[in-house]
Amino acid sequence: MSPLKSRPSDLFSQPTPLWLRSGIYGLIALTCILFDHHYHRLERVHQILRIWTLPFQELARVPLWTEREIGRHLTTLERLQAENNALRHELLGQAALVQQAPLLNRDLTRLRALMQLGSSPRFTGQVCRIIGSARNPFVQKVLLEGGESQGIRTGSPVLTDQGLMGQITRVYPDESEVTLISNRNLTIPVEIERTGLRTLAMGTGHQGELSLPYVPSETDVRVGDLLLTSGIDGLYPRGLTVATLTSVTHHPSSAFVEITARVNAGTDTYPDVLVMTSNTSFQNLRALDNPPLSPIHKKP
Amino acid sequence: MDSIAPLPATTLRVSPSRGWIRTSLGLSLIFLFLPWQGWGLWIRPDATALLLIYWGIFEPTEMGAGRAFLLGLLSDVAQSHVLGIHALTYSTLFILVQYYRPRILSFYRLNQMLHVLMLLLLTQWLEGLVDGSLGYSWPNWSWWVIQPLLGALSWPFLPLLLERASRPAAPPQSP
Repeated sequence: MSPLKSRPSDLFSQPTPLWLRSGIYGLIALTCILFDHHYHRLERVHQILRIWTLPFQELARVPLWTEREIGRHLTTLERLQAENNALRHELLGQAALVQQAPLLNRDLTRLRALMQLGSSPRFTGQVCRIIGSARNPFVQKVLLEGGESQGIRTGSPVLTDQGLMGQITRVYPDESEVTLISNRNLTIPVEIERTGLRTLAMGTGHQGELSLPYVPSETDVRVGDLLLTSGIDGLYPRGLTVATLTSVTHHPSSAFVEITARVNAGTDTYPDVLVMTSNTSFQNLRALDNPPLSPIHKKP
Repeated sequence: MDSIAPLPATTLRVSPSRGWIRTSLGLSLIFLFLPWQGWGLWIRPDATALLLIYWGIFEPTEMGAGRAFLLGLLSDVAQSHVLGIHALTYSTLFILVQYYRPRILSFYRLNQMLHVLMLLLLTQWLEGLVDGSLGYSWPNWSWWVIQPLLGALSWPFLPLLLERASRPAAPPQSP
C-alpha cells in the first residue's frame, strides 16, 4: 500500500483522550451494576461469563482437593481416636432423645390428625463445601460447591451444625451463592423459643448480627433467649436455630424494644454446610389453609 | 542498597512474551479464586490489580483499559458479585495507571511503592464505596487499608516473579 493511500488524518490522529475513555468504561460498568443489582436482568450474562471463569476456578480448587486428599492419608491414629470418643459421647448424650423419637413422632402424627392439620413436612438435604467468598467479606455472601445438578434451587435454606446460616440466592450448574442471614437485605420470620412470640429478624449487615425491630415494649424478652424459625413464610421449615439474643434495651419513648441477636451458625468454624433441597412446607401451608381455617373467616 | 536501585527501564529489559503476560493475569485470577477463609480473607492482596499496574507501567502496549474491564467482569462473575463492580474499579485503575505512568517510571523503587499504594487504595475504596452504596454493609477500617498495604509491600518482589519467569534462555556463549 502506498503511503499516499492512507488517510492524511492518520498522521495526526490522537488516541482517545483519557477522560473520555474513563467516562465510557465507567458508564458501561455503572449500567451493568444498575441492571444486575436493581433489575436482575443480567442472569444470562452471568451464566455465559461463568463458562469463561470455570477453568480458572477449577484450577483454584486444586489446592483444596490436594489438602483434602493428603489430609485423608495423613490423619493420625490419636486424632481419629479422640474424634471417635467425642462422637461416641455426643451420641450417648442424644441416645434418650433418639430412642424416644419414633414414639414422639407417632404421637405427633396422631395429634396432628386429630386436629386436622397436615402432616409435618419432611426434608432432604445436600452436604456442600464452602469454596469461596467475595473479595469484600462484608458483602456477606459465600460460594458453595454444588449447584443445579445437585438439586439445589434458589431460596433453599442453608444450615450448619449450629443453626441457620443463610439462603441460596443464585444457582449455577455446579456452584451456588449463599447470602448469609446477617446480610442487610434478608429478613427471617422467627419465634422466641421460651415464649413462642413470633416476630421478624432482620440482618444488620454486621458480621453475624441480627436485629428484631418489631417487638412491643411490654413483651417478655430476655438476653439469652433462643430464636427459632417460625416457618410462617413457607421457606424456612419451623424450628431451625437462628440466633441468641445478646442485648435488650427498653427506650421509654419508644413503643418497641431494641433487640440485637448473635447468629449461632458461623461460616468460618465449619467448611461443610447442609442445603435443604426439597422443601415441601409451602405446599403444606397451602393445604393447611383450606379446611380448618375457613369456618373462622366465614361470616355467619 | 538494593532498595534504592531503580527498576530496570523498559528500554533495557527484555520484554516478556504476550503469552506470559496473559498467563500471569490468569494466575492472578486463580489466586483470587483460591478458597480463602477466616483471616486469609483479610490479608489477600488484590493480585489482579497489582498486575494491572505492573503491566500497565512496563508493557503499556500489551494492556488496555478494555482488557482491564473484561478482567473485572470475570472476577465479578467468579465471586458471584454484582456484575460491573470490579469492571469499574479495574478500568478506572488502569486509566489512572496510564495517566501516571511517566511519573511513576521516573521514580526509584520506594517512591514507586508509594504511588502503587495510592492506586491500590483508590481501587479498594472505590470498591468499598460502590458495595456500600448498593446496600451491603460498610467494611470496618482494616479492610480499607490492609489489603492495599500488603499489595504495595509486594511491589518490589514483582520483577523477581514476573521478569525471571519470562526471561528467554541465555544465548550460547562463544568459545
